[in-house]
Amino acid sequence: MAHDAPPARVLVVEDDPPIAAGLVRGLKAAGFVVELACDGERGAAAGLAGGFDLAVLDLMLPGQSGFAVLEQWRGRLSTPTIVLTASTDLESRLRAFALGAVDYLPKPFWIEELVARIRARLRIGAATPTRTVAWDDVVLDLDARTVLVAGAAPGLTAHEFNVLVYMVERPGRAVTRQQLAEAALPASGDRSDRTVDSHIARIRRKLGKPGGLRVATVWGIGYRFDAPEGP
Amino acid sequence: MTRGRGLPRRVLLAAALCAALAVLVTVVVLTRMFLALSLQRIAMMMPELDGFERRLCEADPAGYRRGSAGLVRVDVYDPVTLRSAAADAPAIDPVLLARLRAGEATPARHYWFELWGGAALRQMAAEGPCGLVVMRWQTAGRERATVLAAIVVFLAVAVAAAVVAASVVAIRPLTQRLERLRGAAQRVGTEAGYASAADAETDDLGQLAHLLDAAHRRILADAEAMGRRQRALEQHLGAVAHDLRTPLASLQMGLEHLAAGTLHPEYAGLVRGALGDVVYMAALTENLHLASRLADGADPLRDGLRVELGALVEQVARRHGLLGRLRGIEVHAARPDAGVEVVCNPAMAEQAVANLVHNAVAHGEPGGHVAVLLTSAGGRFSLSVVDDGPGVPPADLPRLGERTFRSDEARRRDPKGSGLGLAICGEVCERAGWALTLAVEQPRGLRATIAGPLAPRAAP
Repeated sequence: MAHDAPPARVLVVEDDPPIAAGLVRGLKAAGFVVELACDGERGAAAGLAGGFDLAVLDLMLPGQSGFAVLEQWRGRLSTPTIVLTASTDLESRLRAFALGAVDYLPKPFWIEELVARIRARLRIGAATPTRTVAWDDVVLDLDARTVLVAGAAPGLTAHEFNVLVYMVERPGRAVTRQQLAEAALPASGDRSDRTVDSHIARIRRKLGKPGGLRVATVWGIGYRFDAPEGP
Repeated sequence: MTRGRGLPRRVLLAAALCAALAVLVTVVVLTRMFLALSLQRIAMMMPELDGFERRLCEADPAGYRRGSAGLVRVDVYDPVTLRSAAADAPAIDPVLLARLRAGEATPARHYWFELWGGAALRQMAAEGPCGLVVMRWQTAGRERATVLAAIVVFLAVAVAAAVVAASVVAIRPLTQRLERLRGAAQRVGTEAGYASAADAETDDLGQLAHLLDAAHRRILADAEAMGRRQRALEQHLGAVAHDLRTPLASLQMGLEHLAAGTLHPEYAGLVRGALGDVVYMAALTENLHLASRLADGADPLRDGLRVELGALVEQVARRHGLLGRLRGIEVHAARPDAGVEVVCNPAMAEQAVANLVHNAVAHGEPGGHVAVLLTSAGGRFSLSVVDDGPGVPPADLPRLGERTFRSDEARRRDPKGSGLGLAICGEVCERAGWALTLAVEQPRGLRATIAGPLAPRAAP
């Protein structure tokens, strides 16, 4: 999937210097434009000044707490906020969500997980009604039910097309053979695991390289469509 | 305990009272009845004696007989020799004779356990073969049976009355006190509803009630102290966990940054190992904190909170996928398109699932796989964590949920860990009404499955 939009701007409100430095470093490395605020007052003001696609907010801040920042932002700021905190109790989570946070990540966390959550959150906000999915040399039109590989039709059967669409609509998610069979194959036909495997093998062959390599085998589960990631 | 005090004395008193009452009633009533019967019979027999014909007797002392239908027998005796002319005449009752000589005109007796029912003696002359006349009469069998029945009835009534009296005096108060003791013993140590069984008595039961009160106070005091210690421990562990998370986060990010760069293979291995240790320490602090809360009775079903397992499974798998990548282990998850909602505290559910996945990743080998599979059908869910690691010997499976148990193989591969994670997972599952099962996978690996009911549909 192609992404030509400018890099997303992320506001980080974190007082702990090593964590703040790690966040800035990790998010910049992932392609985001990052602005850091080291206390609650500055963070609240920066957020209200606007211009950010997403905010990452630590709850335990000197002076003004993260909860107080959320309260200031509530109703005045539409920027989605992911909360970071060393507190994992349920009450803190519920309070953060009640104050408008969209996600919650307890410390310690993997910077990659935070990046993945930011990207997922930005994708939700930027979701468009387009029904055409493209990767490598493959273009899949979900409405017209057509697929082109390097501009030519690879000749997928209706069942193969259904299997491919089920996976493409769930990028990065492993799906079981049973899920594929129930969603893409007729109830009256053969829905065995071997039939699903045969369909997958033919899809891979017809999409060729590199497009077909995006259909990955997942041990113990089934298959997964690996969409190309972008910021 | 002092002997003979209180309770035994009351019981002895009741028993003695019962016996005395029964005997007293029997003696009084039966004596009155016997006397009445005797007097009635004797009065009835006296006319027979009044009709004695002395002349006929002296004409033939040995053959003199008087009476009707064998029910009455009259014998005559010489007052000097006390012998009868008739060979078959029985000897004179010495009691009657003594009473006669004492001045009584016609002494009479009633016999209850002899052949004759009674006898009367009268002196007709100072000497001669017919000087003394003894009249004996028989008693009808029905009369004896009536008397015996009366004895039995009177005894029964007397004993029953005595038992009732004894109950009122001793047993009823005793059972009431025992009932109070039972109630107190049932609620001993509970803050609400304990009622002391102590009363003014200082007997055994009274002392027992005071001992129970003392035990109740001691248990409450101990419980309060334990509660304080538990709360302090929980706060302490919570504070430790909280304070550790920030430096661990900093450490993890730094190591993650290092691991992402280009390092000498030797250092890269050290960094990966250090990252694994950081993740382990984070999991350990979480588990210790949760273990403390569980020990304090934390209930995952409290407030009926719901958690969507699909999102939870993806989140846990993603997080541990990053750890797995460092160890060369693939971690994947699959879930149904529709949400899988269950009733459980979300933080506890996440920790339970995370512990299973962490175990699978931590004990896996490079090139291994971990699959987290969530399905739902028929109002129930099934969450399986499957790996192709070395697994555990089947004999060790039943002990895997024990807090301090780790298989020898697990200890050999990784000396860290105490088995706490799996034990906590089992505890959360049990309290949430779920079932945790462990099974060996073929050709290798382990399958841990959590199964339970879906949350009821929310009212529209």
